[in-house]
Amino acid sequence: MLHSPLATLLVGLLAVTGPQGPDESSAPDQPSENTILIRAEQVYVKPGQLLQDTSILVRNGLIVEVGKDLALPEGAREISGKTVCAGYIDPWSNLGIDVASANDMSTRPSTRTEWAVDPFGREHAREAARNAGVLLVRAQAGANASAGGLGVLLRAQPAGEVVLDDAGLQVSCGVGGRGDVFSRVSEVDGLVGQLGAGLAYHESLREYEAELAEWEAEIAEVEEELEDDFKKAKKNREKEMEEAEEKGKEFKEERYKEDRKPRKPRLDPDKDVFGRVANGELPLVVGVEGGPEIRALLEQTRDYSRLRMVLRGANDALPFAEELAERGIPVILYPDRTNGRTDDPAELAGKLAAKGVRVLIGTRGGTTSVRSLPLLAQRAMAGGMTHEQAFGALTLHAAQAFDAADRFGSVEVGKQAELLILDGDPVLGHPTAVMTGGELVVLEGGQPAEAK
Amino acid sequence: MKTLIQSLALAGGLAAATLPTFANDPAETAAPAEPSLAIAASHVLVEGGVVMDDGMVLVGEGRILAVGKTADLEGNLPDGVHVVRHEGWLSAGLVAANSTLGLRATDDSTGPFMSELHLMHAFDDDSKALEHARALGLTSAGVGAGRSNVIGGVGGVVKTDGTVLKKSANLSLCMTQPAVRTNRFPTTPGTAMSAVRKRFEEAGESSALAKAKAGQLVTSIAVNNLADIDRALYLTEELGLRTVIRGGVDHAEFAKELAELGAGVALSPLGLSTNARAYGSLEALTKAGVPYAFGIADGGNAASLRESAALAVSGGVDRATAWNSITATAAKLIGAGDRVGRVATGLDADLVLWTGDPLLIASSPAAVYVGGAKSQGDSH
Repeated sequence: MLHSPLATLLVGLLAVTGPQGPDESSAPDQPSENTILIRAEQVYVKPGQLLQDTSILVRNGLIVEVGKDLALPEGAREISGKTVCAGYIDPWSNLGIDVASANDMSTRPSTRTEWAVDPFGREHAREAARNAGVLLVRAQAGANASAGGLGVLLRAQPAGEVVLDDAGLQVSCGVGGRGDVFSRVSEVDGLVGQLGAGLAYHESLREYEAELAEWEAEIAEVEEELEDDFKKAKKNREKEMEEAEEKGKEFKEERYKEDRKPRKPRLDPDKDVFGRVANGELPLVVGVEGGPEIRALLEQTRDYSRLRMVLRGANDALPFAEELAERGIPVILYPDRTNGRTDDPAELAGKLAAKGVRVLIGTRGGTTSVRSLPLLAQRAMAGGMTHEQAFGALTLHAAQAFDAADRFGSVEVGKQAELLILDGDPVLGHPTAVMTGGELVVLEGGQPAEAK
Repeated sequence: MKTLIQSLALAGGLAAATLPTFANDPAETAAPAEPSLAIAASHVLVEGGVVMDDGMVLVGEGRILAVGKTADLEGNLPDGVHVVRHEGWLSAGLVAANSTLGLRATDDSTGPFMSELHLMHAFDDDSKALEHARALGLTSAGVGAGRSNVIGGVGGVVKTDGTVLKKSANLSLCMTQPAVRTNRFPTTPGTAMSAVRKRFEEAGESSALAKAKAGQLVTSIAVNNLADIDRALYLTEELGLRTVIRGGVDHAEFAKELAELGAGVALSPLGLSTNARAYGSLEALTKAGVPYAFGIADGGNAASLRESAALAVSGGVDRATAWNSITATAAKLIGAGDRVGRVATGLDADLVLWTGDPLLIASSPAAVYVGGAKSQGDSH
């Protein structure tokens, strides 16, 4: 995290000097200023799990207890609402990063979006996003570049708080009307080639490590041998040198095979990232639109059994729904309107979801649109996604796609308290308060209320 | 497709002059009809956006014969009536204040002043666009010219089943960009304005311009900015036009003048990035009593039409005004308020069954009826 040293320092200072600083060592039953009890008529724990009349105890930004009739700890703040659910996550965004970086076309696989985080820009858009319930966004540098690099998951507010700095590698194949069908498909070929090169690079690193260990063992052995007969060996060598001089010949040093140290493969951060992706350590987000590219991508990646892909855009994904569902490849869609001549992406969302494909919904970045994420989910519902699917897309499923579900996406003990308190349904309602980064913001008519 | 002879009658202008509406007048066919269809729904959006729970609509000969509580009406149904029961919402079909639906061509490139161009000659009643709009719950729309010509021509009113409700209903003007451009006369809004005035002054009695002046045609004036609205209102007052301002933002500035001149506003659809100023403008128009409705001629489709009303509600507009802006008010602005836009006795049975409240984006059409006939091609 970019800001962590300063943040840690500040938090440390506060803890030491601040009169109400959180005392990490305090016993669980000893409340502090940072303890909040949320009472709700309904808690949408995660898609498919609903609890009635439930309370949530939050301490220092973590959910510590979920249950009925929780007692209010002394000194804790209490807030109540109709519905509580996890904050929305926008998986396709550029909020929170520098705009030029988002549009950069020269990024590399090893580019880190973290470097482009801009905690000062677009304050209004970030606040509007948070007020609409969009608490986390996945932002990506080089969003349409052939390799955008590693994305980040960050909070809409407070500014620039990266919560995951390697939220998948993003690449794209022929998006934004780039090239004809042949060049788009050849971009897929190039991508799969890079996956192979990444695997080979990791393989060569492993080989090097094995060889190095072997070499070190052998050297140790020879050194031991030499040590025993060191004097004898030294004498022999001197003698040989003299003989050589007498005969006017050049002295040849005895060569040991152990002299050749294995050569370390040249550092290649790009191949390294592709290697991690091909080994399934990181998800691979592929921006892809047309049918031929999607077909080529699916065909050519079948042997990469550990690869975890996420398709982004994917207007023509419907004919491949079965394979996408079977291989567990989620699709991020932007349910835009259409002119009636092309397929309606909202309907595509409904049809894909009906065929078992995990559909995620993103805002495609932009300055003003992140706050519209819940509206896009509503469009997807109009297109046929069920309420549960739409709710999942907004919360847990997005977190799962980027390996963040251990901390985000549901209302469970141990998870971060990124929560919405709504006036109604978790997809159709409006937030009356949001909790993010340990901070509670009460809203009135969609705007933060006066300090109370 | 319309036959050439039908078009010919129109092009002559005489038929249009004597018969401003080609559709049947409801009063003439109001012979006592027997209901053939009864639709019961959990919620019925009747006039003014009022919700009637457990309501029923009786339909016969393509018209709405009665609207009431299911409990009151279902006991007296004659034999043979087809009864549809819907767990969800029932409303009037959506109406777009402007569109280019079904038109194969919207702008003639031969000249900037095409006052005698009848756009309905280019209407294709079998177009995919109509089917798509219908599947999304849109049943009627004003149809007119694009923005490429200063005087774009005469447009009409259509239904999305291909029926032409009115062959000549509106006259399109655009005294700003893109009709006004540097490569032909007129090159500035000012010259465009004077050229339009001159043509109105010199117009022959049976011309489209004369009909617009007499109020027989609605004059749809496309605008981009406040100066355009200003010019449009000047022309409206001077010539006594029945004006509907098309597009633009920030109408709030002229809310009072619009109300005084009895002009309406056909707004472009609201979108996800619509800002607070636009919502403020809606509030001012509502307060001043200016009728406004949404159109789709400048982009968007039937889904964006409904979404506009939903966004207007979340932007602070009352439900009734928002709902009317895509039904009753839109029908009024296109001159078809007596036929469509409301669930009321005597009006056309253009009805939509929704999965939920149609003012929620998440709802979608479950069935669409145009003139009492269930349309094909509706999804879900």
